Amino acid sequence: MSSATTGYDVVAAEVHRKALENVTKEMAVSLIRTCGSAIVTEAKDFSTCLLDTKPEHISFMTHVTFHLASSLIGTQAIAQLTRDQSIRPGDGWIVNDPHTAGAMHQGDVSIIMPTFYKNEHVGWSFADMHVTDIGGVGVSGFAPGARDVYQEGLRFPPVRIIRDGEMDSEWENFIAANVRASDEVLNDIRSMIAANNTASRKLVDVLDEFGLERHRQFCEINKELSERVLRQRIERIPDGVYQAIDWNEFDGHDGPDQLLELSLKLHVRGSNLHFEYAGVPQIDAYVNSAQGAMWGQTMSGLLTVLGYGDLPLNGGIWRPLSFDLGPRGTIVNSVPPAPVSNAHSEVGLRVAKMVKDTLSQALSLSGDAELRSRVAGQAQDGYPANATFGPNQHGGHSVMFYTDNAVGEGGGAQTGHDGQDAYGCTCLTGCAMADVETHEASDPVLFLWRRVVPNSGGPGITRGGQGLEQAYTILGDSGASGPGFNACAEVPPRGFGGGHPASSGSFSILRDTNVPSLLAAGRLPTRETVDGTAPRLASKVTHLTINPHDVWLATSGGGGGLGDPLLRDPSLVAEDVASGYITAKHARAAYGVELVEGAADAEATEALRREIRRARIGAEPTAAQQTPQAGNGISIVRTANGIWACGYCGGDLGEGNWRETAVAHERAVSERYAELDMNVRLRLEEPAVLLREYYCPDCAGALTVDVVTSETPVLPQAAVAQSGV
Amino acid sequence: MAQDQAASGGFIGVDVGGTHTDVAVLLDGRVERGKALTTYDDFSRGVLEAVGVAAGRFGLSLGELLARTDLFVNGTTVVTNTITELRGCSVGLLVTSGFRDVLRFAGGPRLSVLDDHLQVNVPDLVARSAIAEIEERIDWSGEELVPLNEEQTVAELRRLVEEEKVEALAICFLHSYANEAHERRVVELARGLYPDLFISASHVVYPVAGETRRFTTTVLNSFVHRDAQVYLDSLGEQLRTSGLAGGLMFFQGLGGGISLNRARTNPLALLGSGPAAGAIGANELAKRMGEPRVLLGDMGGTSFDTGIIVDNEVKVAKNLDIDLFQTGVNIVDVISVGAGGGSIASIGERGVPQVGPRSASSTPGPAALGRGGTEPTVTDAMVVLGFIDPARYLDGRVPLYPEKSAEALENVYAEPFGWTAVEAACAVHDLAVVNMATAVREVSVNRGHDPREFLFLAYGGTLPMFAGQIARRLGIRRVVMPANSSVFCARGLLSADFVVRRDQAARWDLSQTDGVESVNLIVKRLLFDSRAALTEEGFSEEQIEQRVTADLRYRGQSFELSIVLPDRALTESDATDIAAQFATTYEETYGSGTAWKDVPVVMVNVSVTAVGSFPRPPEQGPVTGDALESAELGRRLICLPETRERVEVAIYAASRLEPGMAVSGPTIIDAGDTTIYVPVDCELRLDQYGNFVMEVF
Repeated sequence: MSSATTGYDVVAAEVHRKALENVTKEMAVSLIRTCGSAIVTEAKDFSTCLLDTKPEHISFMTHVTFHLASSLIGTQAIAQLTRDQSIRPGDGWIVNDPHTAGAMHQGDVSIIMPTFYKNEHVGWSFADMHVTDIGGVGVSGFAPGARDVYQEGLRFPPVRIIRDGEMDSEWENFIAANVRASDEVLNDIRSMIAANNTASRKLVDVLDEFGLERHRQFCEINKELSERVLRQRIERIPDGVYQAIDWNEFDGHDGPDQLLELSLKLHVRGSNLHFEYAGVPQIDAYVNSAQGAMWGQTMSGLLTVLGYGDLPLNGGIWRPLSFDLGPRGTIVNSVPPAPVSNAHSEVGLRVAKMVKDTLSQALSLSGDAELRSRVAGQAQDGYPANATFGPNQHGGHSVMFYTDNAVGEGGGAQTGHDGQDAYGCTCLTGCAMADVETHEASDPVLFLWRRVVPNSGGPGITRGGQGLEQAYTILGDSGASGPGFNACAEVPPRGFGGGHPASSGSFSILRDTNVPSLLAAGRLPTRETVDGTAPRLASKVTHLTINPHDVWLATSGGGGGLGDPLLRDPSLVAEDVASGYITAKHARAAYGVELVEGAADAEATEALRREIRRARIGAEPTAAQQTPQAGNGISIVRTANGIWACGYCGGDLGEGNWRETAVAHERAVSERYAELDMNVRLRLEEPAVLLREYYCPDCAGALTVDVVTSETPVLPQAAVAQSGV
Repeated sequence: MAQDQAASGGFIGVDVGGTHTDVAVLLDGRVERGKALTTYDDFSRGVLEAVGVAAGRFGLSLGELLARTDLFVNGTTVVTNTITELRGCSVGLLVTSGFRDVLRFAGGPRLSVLDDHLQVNVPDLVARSAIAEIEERIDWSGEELVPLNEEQTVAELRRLVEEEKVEALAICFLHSYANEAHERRVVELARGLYPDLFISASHVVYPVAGETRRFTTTVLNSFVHRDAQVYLDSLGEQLRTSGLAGGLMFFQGLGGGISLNRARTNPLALLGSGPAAGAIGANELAKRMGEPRVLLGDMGGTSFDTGIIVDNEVKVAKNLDIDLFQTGVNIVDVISVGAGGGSIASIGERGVPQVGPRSASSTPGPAALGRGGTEPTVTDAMVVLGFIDPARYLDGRVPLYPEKSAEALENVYAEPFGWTAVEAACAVHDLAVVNMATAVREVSVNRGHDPREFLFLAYGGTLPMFAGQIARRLGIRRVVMPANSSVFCARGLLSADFVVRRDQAARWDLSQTDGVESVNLIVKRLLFDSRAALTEEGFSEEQIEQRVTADLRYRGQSFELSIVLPDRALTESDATDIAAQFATTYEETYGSGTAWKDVPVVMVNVSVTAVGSFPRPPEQGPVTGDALESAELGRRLICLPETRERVEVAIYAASRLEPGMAVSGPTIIDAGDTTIYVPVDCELRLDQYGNFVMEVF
C-alpha cells in the first residue's frame, strides 16, 4: 500500500526485506544441514548474505560480524576480476586471501556465486565458514610459528573453482592434497556451495513475487532506511576527533618481548564516521592485519554499540563510514609477505576495542540520553588457548583446541547492568561453550576446575563481566603437544568514565605436580591443594608439551568497568563478595567497601571511601561526589561554551586537555593490580605498561583510567568542534 | 487410574492458559466446551468454573459431570510461569568440587544478537551461598577417581538446610549418568537427615552426558516443585471434594499425561504442555481425516505457535531452551513467535510499520476493549476492518469500542504515512500475516519440507481470521479450522495417553565391538522401569506399548539424531544395520548426499517411551443444521485486506451450517468466540466432523 508521504509501498518494501532475510536464513540452514561440523553448529563461526551487482549488501545473516567486510571486499574483488568476462549461473569463486580479497584469515574461507533472474545477472550470494584446516605449518589456519604468509597455508585470491554449481574435480584434488582432514575440508566447501545454490533458487521466488524492478527499488529503499537510522544516530554525536591507542602484544618468535603500537582517530563529521588507523611496521608473525580484518573488526566494535534496535544489516550501514589505513606495510595495513593467520584475533580485536573506546568518548558528549546510555567498558577481546595433539584413551589421537577460554572472556560493563560473564569475543555472537564432560569423554583430559575468576571484571559503578578459568591434567602416559598463545596478557582492556580496566588473561603449565599423589590418597586435586612448579612461559609459544599429570591452567580476563567504583552500591559489592566474585581485599581497595559479617558496613564504608578520595587528590575534597547527572559512565561533560567539567560535581576542568587540570597518579599496572588484588602479566621489558588515573581536583571522582606505556605522552582530550554539540 | 470406571464414559480436558482456562468435555459421544478467566491466586477456581460452564451445556451440575467422568486431563502453564517469572523456591545445590559455576556459564550465555545491552548474565536459580562443592569424582567411563567425602557432605547438607534454609535440594555430580553411586549416596544421607525435603538428583532427572543441560534441568526441577505441588495438590483436592469419580492426569510437554504423584516428583515435565496438547489434538484430527502431513498454527493473545506433523508423527524436540536456561527437557516441537491478537503495531526507528513482538496482553489489552490501552494491536486492526463484530465479540460477553481502535491506529500512522484508520489496519493485517507465515516457513522449509505439500490446521480463537491469507503466502492449498477451535488445546487433552519417558546416556562406537552389552543392559533396565511405572498406575499389559530409540551421531559432531531400535536385545552384528539406518535418517533430515563417509557412528543415548492408552468412546458427528439461507446472520461491510476494497459480505452463523454446505469468499463465518474469514477466491465447507475445510485457489 502506497503512502501519500513516502511515495512508495512501505508495507511491501518491508515484506520484501523479510523475504530476503528468509533467503539468507535458508542459506544458513542449508549450510548447517549439509556441513554438520561443530565449528558451524556449536561455535557458530559462519555467515551467509546476499549482495546486489554494485556490490552492496541487500541482506546479511550472521553470528560473526566481521564477515560484513569479507563478503563486501571479496565480492568487490570478484566483480573487478570479471569486469570484462562473461559469468554464468552456477559459477562460483573460492576466496580466503586477507591480502587481496578481504578475508579475515586464511582459515575463514568464502564461497561467492553470482545470482541470476531470467538470465540477467542480479547480484551475488556469499557463504563463509571457518574450515577444518587450510594447510601450512599451523593447525586449523592458526600458524603462530610462520614467518611469512607463504608458510601459513593455502591462499586463494578469487579463484573460479565452481562451474554449474559444483566444485571442479581437479580443484578438489588440489585442495585435498594441501590440507589436513581433507574429507572434512571438502565437505565444508561443498556445504557452502549448497548454501549458495539455495540462494540462487530462493531468490528467484522472491523476484517472481515482486518483479525485478520492484526488487531493485525495495533493495535501494531498505538500504536507505538503514543508512538513515545509522546517520541519525551519528548526527546526534558531537563532531570532533576522538582518539585511542593500544598495543598488540607480541613476544617475538624467540624474544625480545615487544609491544606493537596501533592507534585510531575517529573523526565524527555530521552523519559520517571516518576511521583513521595507524600502526608500527608489519612484523614476521601472524598478528598483522589487512583490510578485511580492519574493516570487519571496526564493524564488530561499532555494531555492538550502535547496531541496536530497528537497524537491519545491509549496504546502507557502510555508507556513513570511511576508512584510512595509512601507508602500506604496517601492522594495520600489511602487505605480503607479512603473515596474517591470526589478523582478526590479534590486531583485529585491538581494533574492536579501540572502536568501542572512541565511540564511548564521543557518545558520552552527546546531548541525547539514549546515545549516552550506550557508553561501555571494553570487552576483554583476547584469550589464552592451546592446540595440542596426542594419543587418547580410545586408541586414537586427539586434536585438543578448546575455545572455552575464548567463549569465557568477560564483556564490558554497560550503563544498565554489569558486563556479561563469558561474553566471548566481540565479533562472535551466540558462541556456545563445550561441556567438561564432552572434553573428558573424547580426550585424555581430567578437568580439575572451571570457575569464575574472582576480581576479573573491571571495577566500576557497573562491574565488567567476569572471565573463566579452567585447569586440566593430562591422563595416560604420553602427554600432548602443540602451540600455546594468548593475545591479551600485559595490556588489559580499559574501563570507561572512571571505570577501571579489567584483569587480563594468562596460561601456564604446572610441572611435577602432586596430582598423582592426591588421587592415590583419594583426594580431589583442587585450586587450593594442587602443587607444582610453573616456569614462566612466553605469551606465544610454538611448541609446548604437556606431560602426563602436568596441569594446564588457562585464565580468561574480564571486561572493563564503567563509572567510578566508589559509587557502586555497597550492597552489590557485598553481594559480589558473598558470591565469590570479588575478594574482601578487592572490595576495600577498589570499591572502598568494608564488610562486617558479610554485609557492607555503612559507616565504615563511608569512612573508607572518604579516605580513598583524600588519598586520590592528596587533600580533603572541596565538593561532594554525586552520581553522574548525565548518566552512568559520564565522568566528563562539556559546557555550552566549550569548558570541560567534572561529571560528578560540575567542577571546572578547563578549556584545554582536562587531563592537565585533573590530579593524576601513574603506576606500573602490575604494581597497582597487586594492590587491587587483580591479575595482569608482569612485564619485564621496557617500556613498562602503566595505569594513569585521573581524578577531579574538587570531588576526587575518578575521571578516567588510561592504560599506556612509559613512553606514551599524556593522552589527548577529545577535540570537539565548537558547533558540534 | 487406568481401570475402567462404571461405564459413565466422560472425559474432560482442561487447558489453563495465560488468559483463559479452556475446557472440552466428551460425554455421550458429544463434545462441549467451557471457558473462564484464569485465576492466578488459585488456579483451581478458574478450572472448576470453566468445567461448570461445560457441564451446564450438558444440562448437568459440576458435581454430576465429575461423577460421570472417567478421566480428567489437565495442562497447565504453572511450571512455565514459575521459571519465566523466576519465582521458584530456594534450592540448595551440591555439586562436584571445582564446578560450582556451571550454571553461571550456562553453556555460553551470549545471545546471537549484536546489541550489547541485551547481553546479560543468566539469573541465579540458586543463591550463590547455597551452592556446596563436594569432594568426589567419577570419570567419563564411570570409574570412581575420588570417593565421596561423606563427612563433608553431611556438614554441607546441614548448612544448606539449617543455615541457608533451602526448601529443596539438587544433586549434580560430573559423569553421574555413567555412575550414579555418589549422587545416590548423597540422596540417602539427605533423606536420613531430612526425610521430607524435596530432592532432585541429576542421574534421575536427566541421566544424559553434558553437565550444563543435566545440572540446569535438575536444579529447575527443584526450583519449580513448590509452585507445582501447591497447584497439583489444590486441584487434586478440589476435584475430589467436588466429586471427580475417575482418574486425574497432568499433561506433559512431551505430549502425554502423568499421574499427580509423578508430576509431584518430576514437575518439570509439565513445561510447555499447552502447545503440546494442541499438537497432539491436531494429529488426532489429522489421523481421523486421513491427512498425514499437517502444518499447525495456534494464535493466542501474545504469540503464534506453529509446528509440523509428518506421517502423523508429532516430533519431540530435545533440549528445550527456556529463556536463558538450557535444559534437557523433551518437548513437542512447536515454535512460538510474538504475533498474537494483542501484538502491538508501531513504527520502528526506520519509519517502517512493525507488528509485535511487544504485546498489550490482557491488561490493558487492545484499545478496542476500552481498558485504557492506547497502542493499536492486531485485534484493533481487525475491528476496524469489520472482521470482528463489536456487538458479538466473545459471544457478546465483552463490549468493544471500535472508535478507540480507529483512534489508536490513526494516532500512530496518520501523520507519517497519511493513512486512514482502514489503510493502517490493512498494513497491520498484512504484516501480521507475513510474521506468521515466516514462522510457518521456519518449521517447514527450515526443516526440509515444502509447505505446499501440507494441510494447514489453524486453531485458536483468532487464527481463523488470518489462516487463508497465511496459506496463500506459503502456497498451501487447504486449510482446516476445527470445530471448537477456540478450545482446541483442551480438546487435544481428551486424546492424551499416559506417557513415561526415560533417557539414559549409553556409549557405543558402532565401529567397535564392545559397548553393545552395556547398551542392552541399559535398555533392559529402562524397559523394566517404565513398564513397572505403568503397571503401578493400573495399566494392564495389553494397554502398554513401549518404544526404544537411540540417539546417534557421527564422531566429531555435537548434535544427535534419533532412530528406533529393534524390539530385542542387540548383537554386534546389528552395528552395520543401525549405522545404515542412521545414515538414511541423516539424509532424510538434512538432504541426500549429506551423510558423512568413512566416519564412525556413535550411539550416545538410549530412550524408552512407554505409553499406556485408555479406551475412548467414539465421537458422534455434528448435529445437522438448516439450509444455507437460514444460516445467514446478515450482511456487513468489511474492508478486504487483499484488495483494500470495502464490500458487503454475508455473515454466516457457524452453528447453523450443515455438513457438506459450501460458501465462497469473501465471507465471514461467525462461530461465537471464533471468527473465520474466507478470503476472495476461497471456498469453505463444513465436513462430517464439524470442521471447516477451506480450499485456497
